[in-house]
Parts: sequence; C-alpha cells; structure tokens
Amino acid sequence: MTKPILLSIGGGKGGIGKTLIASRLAYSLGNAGYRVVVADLDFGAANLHSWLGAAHPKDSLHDFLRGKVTHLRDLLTETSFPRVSFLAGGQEFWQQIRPESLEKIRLINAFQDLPCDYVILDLGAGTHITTLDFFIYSHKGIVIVVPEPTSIENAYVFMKSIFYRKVQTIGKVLHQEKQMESLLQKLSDVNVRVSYLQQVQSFSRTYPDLGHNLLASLEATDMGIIVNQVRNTEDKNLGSSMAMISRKYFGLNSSLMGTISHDPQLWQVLRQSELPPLLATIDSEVDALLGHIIPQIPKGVPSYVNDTP
Amino acid sequence: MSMTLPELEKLLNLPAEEEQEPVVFKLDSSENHDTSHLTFLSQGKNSVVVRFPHLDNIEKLNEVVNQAKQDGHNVFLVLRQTTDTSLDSVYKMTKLQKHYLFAIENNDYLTLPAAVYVRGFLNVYLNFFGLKRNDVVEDFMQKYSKARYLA
Repeated sequence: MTKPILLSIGGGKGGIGKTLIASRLAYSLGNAGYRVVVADLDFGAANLHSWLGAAHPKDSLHDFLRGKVTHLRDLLTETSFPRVSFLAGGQEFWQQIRPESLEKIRLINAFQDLPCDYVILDLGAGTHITTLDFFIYSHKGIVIVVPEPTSIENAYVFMKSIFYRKVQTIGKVLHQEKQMESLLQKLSDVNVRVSYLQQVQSFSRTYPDLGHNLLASLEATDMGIIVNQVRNTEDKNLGSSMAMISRKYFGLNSSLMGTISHDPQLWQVLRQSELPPLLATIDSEVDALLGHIIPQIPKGVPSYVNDTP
Repeated sequence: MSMTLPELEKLLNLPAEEEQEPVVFKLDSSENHDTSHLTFLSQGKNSVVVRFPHLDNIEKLNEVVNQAKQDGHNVFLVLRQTTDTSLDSVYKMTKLQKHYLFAIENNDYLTLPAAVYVRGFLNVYLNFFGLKRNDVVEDFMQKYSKARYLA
C-alpha cells in the first residue's frame, strides 16, 4: 500500500477560511475517488467536527499523544461525506497538549500509516512551533491569505517563521547547531537590514556544505498560496506577490494555487442552515476554487482503482 | 485592494535592495561579433556602447540555454543565475517591471499581460544577455497560451 500524501493548511491569521478550505478539499478529493482523512491540529480550538456535521467524539488526537490510544486508525470517525473521515482535535486546555518533538514525529509517522490517499492537516492560527513543524513535515503546505493588511502581515510572519524553523531544524538534523547558531542570531537581529535569503547566501560562503544543504532544503519546500475572499480583480495579484516575497526573501519555493471569490451570502447560509456548514457551502462561490486548485495537488492513485475486484 | 510586489514590500516594511550601477560595456566595432540584434544605447565612430554585459560568453550562454531546455528548467532563471545577475540590474537595463520578470522566471503565466507584450518582454530579456533565441520564445509562448486557455 502506498503512503498517503500529507497536505497541511495554515496561514497565521484566524478566521480566514482554513477549516472551510480543508474540509472542502477533503470533500472534493473524496468525490474524486480518493480516501481522505482530515486531521484537526488546531489544538485547543478544534472545530472541524462541527464543519463536518459530527458531534465531538470522545477520543481525540490528544489521547493518541498521551498514549491512551495506540493506533491512530482507531480514532478515525466516519463522516456523511463519501470516503472522508476525520481525526478530532482535543478541546481540552491547550496548555496540556504541548507535544514534544518525539511525539510530533510519532504522530507524523502515524499519519503516514493511515489507510488512505490523502491526509489533510487543518492547522491552527498563529506560529506556534507545533503548527510550524506539521507544516514543514507535510508534502505540500498551503498558506491561506485574505486581501486585508492584517492577514497579509500574519501570512508574512508565518512564512518567516517557517523559514526560521527550517534553518533551526536543519542545524539539528545535521548536528551542526553551533555553526547554525551564529546564523540564527543574525537572522533574529532586527537591526540587520539585509534580506534573510542574502544572509543565508553569505553564510553559505563561510560554510559551503551546510549552506548548500540549507539552500537546497529551502528550495525543496512546496508551498502553495490560496487567496481567499477575493472581492475584485485587483485583489488577485496579492497571491503572486506573496509567492514572490517568499521566494525572494526566504528562498522558499512557492506558487499561487488559486483565488476564491468572496461570497457575501455565506454568513447567512451558515447561520440559517441546519445542515453541517460544509454541506451548506457546497453550492457557494467556494465551488469556483475546485476548477484550478485541485489539479495542483500532488497526485495519488484513487483508491477505487485498487478496490475493484 | 491592489497588492503588487512593490506595494506589498512597502506594507511589510521589507529592506530595500542595494542600488547597483548599471554595467556598460564598450564594444570595439572591429570585433567579429554579430551585434545586429542588440539594443544599442549609443553609437560612436569606432565603438558602440551596448546594454549587454555578457558578450564574450554568447556561445557559453547558448549552451546553458540548450542545457536548461533539455532539463526542463526555466531558461531565464537559469541564465540569470549562471551570470549571477540580480533582478534589479535586469530591471534597470531593460526597464521591464520586476514582477513581470519574476513571473517569466517562475512560469507564472497568469500574472503576465497579453501575448504581444509577453513576446516583446521575452525578446528584450534574452537580448539583455545578448541572445536571440526564437525557439525559447516560442516554447514559452506555447505554454503561456495553454495556461491562459485553461484558466
């Protein structure tokens, strides 16, 4: 059995449609014949189950991290959408759910053993280390941004944090923390007015091997950008500008995946509907995203191909 | 809310790139270079000043282009990286807007303007390196129109 593809969805700011897009992607991929698991990694503010119209299950990812549940597949909850199941996040006090790096790696490995084609990680807002790590460890990371200065700022800081965390992690993995420490200190110095990528480049002149690995690993990032709540055509160039920023300043390989129009009726639909929010949004503007975003997702083999006798 | 790259950089208060002096090369007209396709800044009696700083390497650059085409890399990005040229200096000499240059290098077809302009951009960009490669332009335009058609 091939291992599933991990897609993570983040973006720094809250309320920009991360969970909506995560569940919509799951729905579309499920409809296309893939088996999809959506994991709610928004620890402490988990609400994916509500989007999917399910009651909050008794057992959550928290129980897996604490060792109460051994196999992740025992936590899978079916939804009413074809081939889509989900892993609930904890609604406990988030202070209790601070996974150590070993536990995070255990969880990532467990995601890869799930019997499905895609695992979509719905990350929380903010740039907590746990959030960043899940973003970095997935095959493709998707950053959601809306055309508002606050969201743009947060998305920029999110990219910056991804960059910083990657530098940190590579130093650890290659056991060259000492050399990396000088770079990290320079990077976090606000008085240095040289772009981050240029600093890495000058660092790689001093330590060619380490620098080469570092630049290669930054380049190997597969980051997609989705601009949500687009109101006019001018908003659309935000996405490609963000992609340029991440490439020019952080050396992160990123591309614009697509834009989603703002749907002025969505809030009314969400309030009035007795259906699960995901179902209520299916005929909304969000549908427009599927046309061009879905083909950009790394391809797996649809499960039904293997299932047929 | 319009957000082009310069506007975004301003909003995020990003460090501006260092100013770079444009490189101007003098070319002795007695040399046997085919310069008919180059854009000249000025032309003297015995010398011309060209915008193009890589004249001695034309053959080498042509090989680089062929290799990049073979490997499926973006020719323009590879050219700029091999010659160690910054986006800024290309902009200063060609006056092509940086976000278009960036879009060309990253196959971001949807950001680019109408086909006639793009064709001109590509020729100017190649011209900057002293190259005239219709095959590269045609390749790019084919992918461009395909992407535009699908979108």
